[in-house]
Amino acid sequence: MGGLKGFESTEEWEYNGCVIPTDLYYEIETQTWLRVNEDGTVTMGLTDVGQVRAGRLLHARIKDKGKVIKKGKPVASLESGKWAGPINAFVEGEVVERNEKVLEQPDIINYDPYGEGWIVKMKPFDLQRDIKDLLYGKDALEEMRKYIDEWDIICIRCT
Amino acid sequence: MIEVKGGLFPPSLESIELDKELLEEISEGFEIRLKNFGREVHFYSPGFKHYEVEDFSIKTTPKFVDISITGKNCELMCDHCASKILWHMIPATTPEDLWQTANQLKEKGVEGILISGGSNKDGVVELYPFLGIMKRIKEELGILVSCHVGFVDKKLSEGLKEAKVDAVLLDVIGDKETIREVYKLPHRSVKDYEESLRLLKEYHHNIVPHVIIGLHYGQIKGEYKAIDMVAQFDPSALVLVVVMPYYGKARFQLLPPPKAEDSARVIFYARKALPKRPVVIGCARPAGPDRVKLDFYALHAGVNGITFPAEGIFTYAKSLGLKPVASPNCCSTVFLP
Repeated sequence: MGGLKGFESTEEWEYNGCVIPTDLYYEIETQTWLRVNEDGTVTMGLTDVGQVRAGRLLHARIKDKGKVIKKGKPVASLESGKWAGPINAFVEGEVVERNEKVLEQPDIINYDPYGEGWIVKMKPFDLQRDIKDLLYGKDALEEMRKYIDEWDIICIRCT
Repeated sequence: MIEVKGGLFPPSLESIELDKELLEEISEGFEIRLKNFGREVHFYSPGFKHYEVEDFSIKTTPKFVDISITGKNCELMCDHCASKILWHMIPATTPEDLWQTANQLKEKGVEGILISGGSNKDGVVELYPFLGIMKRIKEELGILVSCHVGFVDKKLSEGLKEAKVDAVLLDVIGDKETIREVYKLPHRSVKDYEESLRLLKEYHHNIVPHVIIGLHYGQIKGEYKAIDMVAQFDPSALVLVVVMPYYGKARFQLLPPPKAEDSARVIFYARKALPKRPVVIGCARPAGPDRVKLDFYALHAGVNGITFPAEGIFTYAKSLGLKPVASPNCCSTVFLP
């Protein structure tokens, strides 16, 4: 079992090499994250754990700008040699921006899952309603830690 | 939804551009499949990959997995894969390892295994030391065993028969230059593939040859010849896959895979060459919009099955009047009841 670093810090935690920023909301089962932006939009992406489990990503598809996505329905899909799956919308809302860089070079997600590797921005219809189902803060960390232990994951970033 | 050739196009397929003339041409393949196989079409999702698209996923624990008897190693290291296909397989590099692994898999509910591995510099997967254990896996564990071989001699063909393997899979190349340049086997020829097929049939194996479309650095070259050759040996099924440039060495990675339309012509040719034997699209093929197109054409060309179907394809098959059957097995089992 790896060490837990930065538990009390405000920026990010690290467990078994997996980075878990503290300012994000998480869904553990799908290993996706959500950031609430100042303009009321939300940004979504795949976690560090998610990118490790998927392996080097080879293909990404993101729903077009303007599309309205229901909560829990796919807003994007990703594929590597050993994994293919959807990125489901955490919130009901409209796609306002797709990360074109990820569409061109999906393995940016492997290099920088929380930064340049963000996937999609959405304008939520009822953020307060939908965000309740996501984990945040120490609850998120605790569940993430369980997940990492259960799957025996050690995070490695592609370089 | 829009209507194309009698099928309803789901929204996920709306943006793809199709060659209508080609669709017309390959529709003969669809008639062949209706006449000889009815409306059942198989969609496979073997356990080495988590695969989930909007209209298709199999949510069981893995039932069919791949094992490599050489781990990640391949002496041949040919240009098109450079051993990367082995990386996703479960390593079991000694007979003892294989037995232990098979027992563990059986406990986890696995019902079938593909035994594969890297080739030596002669294009042979050195399976001989594992044959005894393969027989025990069949007899004592009751697991279905497929075996992906390289070139086969009489001894190996006989040994595989004694091991009671359910199916023997073999990549068949129909062009000397491809064998020399891509596979790095200058001392081998198309005749050697023919001889391997002959020896396997001599021992009454269920053979499931694979033809890799675009193997010659993305070009179509020996595929038609390979299909003709395979057709002479009454295969139990034929698997068609498409080269994946990003798996290959640098020279390959810079090249595009064949166009979906060119691949579709090969698929159609195979359907006509093997009208009464299953023709299936295997797991290895590029992802992305090209896969959507390829799978779409493949359905129209009358294939019997598709592994990891692109998003929308399962739904589209139903709208064509086909009866999709989802399976967690390897597509090479298509001929088994």
